[in-house]
Amino acid sequence: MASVLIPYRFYGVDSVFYIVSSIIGFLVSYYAYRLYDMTGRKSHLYFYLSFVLLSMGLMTIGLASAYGYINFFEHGQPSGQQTIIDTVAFVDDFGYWIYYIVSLVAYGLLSYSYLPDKTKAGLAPIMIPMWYTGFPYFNILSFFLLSYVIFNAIVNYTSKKNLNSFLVMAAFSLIGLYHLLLFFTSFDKIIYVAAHLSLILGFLSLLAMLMRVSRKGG
Amino acid sequence: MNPRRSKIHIYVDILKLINRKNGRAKPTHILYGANLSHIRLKKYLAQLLESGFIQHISEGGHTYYIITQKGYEFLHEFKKIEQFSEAFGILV
Repeated sequence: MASVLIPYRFYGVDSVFYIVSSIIGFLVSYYAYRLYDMTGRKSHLYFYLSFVLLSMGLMTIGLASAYGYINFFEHGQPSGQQTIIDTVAFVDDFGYWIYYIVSLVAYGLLSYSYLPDKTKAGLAPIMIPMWYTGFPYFNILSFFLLSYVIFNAIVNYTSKKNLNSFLVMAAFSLIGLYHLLLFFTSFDKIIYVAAHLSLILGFLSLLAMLMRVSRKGG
Repeated sequence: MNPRRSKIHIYVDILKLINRKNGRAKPTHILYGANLSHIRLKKYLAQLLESGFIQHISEGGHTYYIITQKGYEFLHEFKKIEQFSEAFGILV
């Protein structure tokens, strides 16, 4: 496994970002459930489940990493080159693995929900090779799955040209960028910060869209 | 009108049509406005009545359908969900 360089001052901030992103994700899943409840369509169920799983994964990694940081501040000393693998205990490691697996299933469902119905019918379930999901492969696989969602969000924005579709396009692009940047975190600490800023901005973009929808619905 | 409308879209089209007629419309107005056959219209109106989204009243020898509070709430909810799904590029 590759080392992840995290600036000392950023310890714990990433946990907060994960938890905030998770809460926003749960809000999106609430709306997605209302959509599914109204239509009863399977693709809407997958869409809803993808956000539930993604939010659960983010909450798990948020709490697990927070636990790791608390443990570190109580018992360890920062060296400036500490890695997340060095600082977390078994519980945290377990939390990360849950996040990896749950997130990949979530992204898979999200991509699946965007597939045309005719294509879905012809697709057999694909087993994701989980032994390749360990960090950093997880991020590449996540980016690969998200790229189809990003493509659809771009197509949707170019056809609708409204702020809501722009916010969704920006959100998925930023979440995709987060995974892409995380792949390079062993090169420089600042990449880890940029990646997490990209994640939180992505979810804040989704929150902005939700606020617009809930305000202008009437 | 889209010939491949979902059930939910047909509900909404009927409710919007009644709403445009100041909240009450005759069956014939709904029939032409919603672009449905008589048999399908009867089926959907029965479902809307059963759901409590509309009521029928008789006035001057004519039957009218009116939107209930629940029907207006459904339309309001649909508008939100429609905007949400459109933002993601997902069909309702």
